[in-house]
Amino acid sequence: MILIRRFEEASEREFRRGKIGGYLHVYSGQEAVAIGVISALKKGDVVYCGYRDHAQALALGSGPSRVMAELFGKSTGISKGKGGSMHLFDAANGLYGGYGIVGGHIPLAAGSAYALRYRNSDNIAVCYFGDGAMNIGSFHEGMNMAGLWGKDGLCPVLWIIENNGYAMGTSVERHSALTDLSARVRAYNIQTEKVDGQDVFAMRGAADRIVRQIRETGKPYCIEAMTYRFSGHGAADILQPYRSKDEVEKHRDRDPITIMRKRLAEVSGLTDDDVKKMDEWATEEVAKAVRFAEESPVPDGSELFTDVVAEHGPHPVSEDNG
Amino acid sequence: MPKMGDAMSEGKVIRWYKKAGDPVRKGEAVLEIETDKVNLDLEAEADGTLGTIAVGEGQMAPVGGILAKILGEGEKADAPPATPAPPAAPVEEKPATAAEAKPAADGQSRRAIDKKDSIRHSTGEYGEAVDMKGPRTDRSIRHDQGNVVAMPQGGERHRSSPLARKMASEMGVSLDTVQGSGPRGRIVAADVKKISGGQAAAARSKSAMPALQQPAALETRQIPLSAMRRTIAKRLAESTGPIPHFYLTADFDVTNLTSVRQQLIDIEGAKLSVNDFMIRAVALALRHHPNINASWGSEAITQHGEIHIGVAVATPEGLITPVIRNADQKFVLEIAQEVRALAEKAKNRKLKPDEYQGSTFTISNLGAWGIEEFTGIINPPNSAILAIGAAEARVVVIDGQIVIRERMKVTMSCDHRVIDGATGAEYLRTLRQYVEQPLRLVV
Amino acid sequence: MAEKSYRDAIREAMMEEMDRDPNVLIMGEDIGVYEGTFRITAGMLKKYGPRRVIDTPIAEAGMVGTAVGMAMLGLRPIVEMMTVNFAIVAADQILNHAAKVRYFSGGQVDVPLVIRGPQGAGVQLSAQHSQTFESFYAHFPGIHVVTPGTPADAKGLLKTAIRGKDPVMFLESAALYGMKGEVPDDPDFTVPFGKSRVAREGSDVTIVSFSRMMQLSLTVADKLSKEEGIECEVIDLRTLRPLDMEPAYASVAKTHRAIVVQEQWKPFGAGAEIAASITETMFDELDAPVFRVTGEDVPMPYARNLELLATPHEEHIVRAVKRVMYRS
Repeated sequence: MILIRRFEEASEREFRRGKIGGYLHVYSGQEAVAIGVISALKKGDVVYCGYRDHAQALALGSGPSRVMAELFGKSTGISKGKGGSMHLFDAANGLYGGYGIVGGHIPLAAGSAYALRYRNSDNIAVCYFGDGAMNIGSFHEGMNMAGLWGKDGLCPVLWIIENNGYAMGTSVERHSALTDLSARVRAYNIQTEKVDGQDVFAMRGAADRIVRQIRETGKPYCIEAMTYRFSGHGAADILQPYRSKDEVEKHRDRDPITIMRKRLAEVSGLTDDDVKKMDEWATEEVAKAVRFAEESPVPDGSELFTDVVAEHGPHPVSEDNG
Repeated sequence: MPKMGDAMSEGKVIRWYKKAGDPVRKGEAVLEIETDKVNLDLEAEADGTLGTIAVGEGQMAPVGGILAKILGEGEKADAPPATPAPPAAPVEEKPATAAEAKPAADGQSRRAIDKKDSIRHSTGEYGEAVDMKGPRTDRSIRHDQGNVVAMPQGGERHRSSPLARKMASEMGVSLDTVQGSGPRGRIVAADVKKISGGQAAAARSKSAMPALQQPAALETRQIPLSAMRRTIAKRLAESTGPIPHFYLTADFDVTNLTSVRQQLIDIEGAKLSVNDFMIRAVALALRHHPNINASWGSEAITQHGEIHIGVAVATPEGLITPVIRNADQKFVLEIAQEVRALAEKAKNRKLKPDEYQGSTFTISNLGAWGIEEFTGIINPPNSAILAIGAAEARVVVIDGQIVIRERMKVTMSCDHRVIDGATGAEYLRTLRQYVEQPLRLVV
Repeated sequence: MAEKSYRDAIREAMMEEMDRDPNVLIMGEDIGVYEGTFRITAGMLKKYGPRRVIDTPIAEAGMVGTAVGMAMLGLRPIVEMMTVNFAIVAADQILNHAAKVRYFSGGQVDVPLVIRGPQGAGVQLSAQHSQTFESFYAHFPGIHVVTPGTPADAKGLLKTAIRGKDPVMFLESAALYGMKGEVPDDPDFTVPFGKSRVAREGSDVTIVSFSRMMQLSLTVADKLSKEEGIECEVIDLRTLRPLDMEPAYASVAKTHRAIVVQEQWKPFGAGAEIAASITETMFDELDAPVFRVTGEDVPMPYARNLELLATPHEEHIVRAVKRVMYRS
């Protein structure tokens, strides 16, 4: 979690330096939601998320260097520099993508869950999406099909609502007719649970139990993680006119890293010195990642035309592009 | 200069709240900047002392450029860079740029002014994208070049199909002479094809009339003799010296020949010149007259068993005569292709010796230059050379009627040691039959 | 070889591939219990069971989105659109997900997904159900667009689509479903993508087309040959993406005239792309502009007479052929 925090601070800094292009959405404040669930998974499980996806990639083991290189648009990035911040992808480690169309990935996760069961695997699919994704058609169509297939034990998917209170700058109260978001998932015959998304132990506890249940039943389940993002929606969200500085400060009192430290101090005697060492390690890892990203080569120009389709190359029209 | 928007590439310093040497605290506003969207305060990222200011008020800086450094305890100010440059300092050094920007507190203290609706927003946002140059090359240019050829110089542009223009260009026909039958007078392929015989020749001679260019200033200079020029001189002198020349001129009617040529072009879509027909005609006529297809020798006259026609080709270096071997056994189309290939090689000096040696008879054609008639110098060891003039529409009397026919004059230079006047005249009579009854050439 | 209908060729292709590969499954609205609105999937539920023949809710985005997820994990879903008109509900899933994942993941996943269904006008289905979509989908990289015009191609191209690694929009012509033709029996008979064919040889005018309009062009070509001695060469593009223009170029080099025939509206259509490609590549060979024969630029009306006015017919093609021959 500390690594994620330091990584996100660095990515924001590199964005300001002009090293990272496009959009940049950082995860600071929500770390426990990524770590709490992903640490409960096993090999072969597949994870889908929206475009706030750095934490999931790091949690799944993609490595800060390859993730940072992707943000820098370098050939060593986990998507060869072709996806960027919004489309981190690491199939080998179970990350089936960050997606840029809000809620568009929800049916993909349901379909992947079906595929896993179709092949009699006990792996599951996990799908992160924000509260803002719950008003788009893909959410409703995907949820309904998951609920439907779940009746036959054919849709082992764990839905995680990352309820950070805002769809970009529009608060839950202003974007959802029903503010009890998990109730809307229950409408599709899917079991739900609200969990404190700032407390990694609460998240992990719920995830352990629920993941086991999903593996056994093949039925979908939904965790509504109550969380808060400390940074702007994206790096360009400077003014944040939709919330006050006071509100952000108030939530900083429930910083997931502080909560984790306190719990670990109580339970296992974690000292400030231990934390300092962890922090130094994380800072060094991130510094190494930035260096790696800086020094990595940009993708070769020929990469432009690869990976469009598998077999036929680009449309021949590009051959004669004036 | 921090990047505050997804498409921001530079920003302007509005004012510094602190001056060099002032102590600053983390979170304290240090300066105000202006981006294409907003004005906002930049806060110090760390406690320390403000170092040398690199970008003054009113100046622009690129994203990533250093504005000033905040010095930690004991750090010394660097000399300011001459121009703002992206920071080279790796991040793990204590972050030193006044970068991390957060909005100031709510209410009146916030200096940010939202300029989302300003004109600059709509013009500046994607400036970089507009400037972006991809690795593409413009391959459409070659098409354009192809079109210029048949365009008339000055005057109204002819409407014409691309194919018609290409055909006209290949046939040397000026579109000025063609009546378009397509919509709004468009000249189409059929219109160009319709132009045959006299029209084609007329059009050609007209188009072949180049404007007089300003001559270069006169000067006395010596052009060193090239090996080729030396050979030409030597061989031609050898020719006129020892060879007693005499000359026979005939005037052939080539109306039918030009018509057959046009039909072949239409049917085969091939490039064909009158000269290609003449090569075959000369060769076929030689079969009847082995005494013309012969060489003088000190002991004997050799009559050759094969007919190889030398074709004089002008190159920048001078004259050379590539050889069409067994020309009497080749179709006109074959001859045409071979001549083009050899002429191309000749122009590039790529001819091999066996491609320009061994002729038994030579022809030279200056029709393309508009020459009506001329005499050639025999190319030894040949005994004759046929000089061919331009095919032109001329008024002639046939059966007491004045008619316009395509006519062409040829002059044969003969080696009197081998050929007598009557022998040569008989040959030309045979040749006339082939030329004036051109179906003999294509069957 | 046996004579089969276009519809049976499609059905046979799917069943042969389902027999061949257990990863192939089919999903769509009312394809199972109801047995399909065009009965292409009749009997499949009974034969393959509900795991492989999935009746979905009326939710095209959900249907395609889940199929993308299945395909990314190695299944080979075939999504039947009741008509291709409904697929635009799933446009985001098709164009922004299926067509993009391979690229933005740097080639980490295949998306072997076939979206197929009937399209086109002709039976008074009016504005929302009569459209053709080839240019809409062919605009986007990352997806194949297939437009079969014969029963043999319907089968061979569909098998290539199912066996492939990429998303395919397989656009069937509803009007051709009953058309019969010779179809090879070989279960491994496939037709590769990106190989246009000369459907009829001719020397005077090149007609470039695909799907139903290719068949209409053949009818017109025979008529023009018999009645006017005009010999048209008909090029069947078969797949619009990948697009193989070489046979069309070779034909234009011979005829020096070309027209394009499509059912779709004229603006920004497939015909525009084809005509522009011919002009760019074969400019100096053209003796006339490349004309397009297209549907009229209106939403499809219901009334029979109006519908007939809105779609291309034989006389439109005849007129275009004569126009490029300067005979009108």
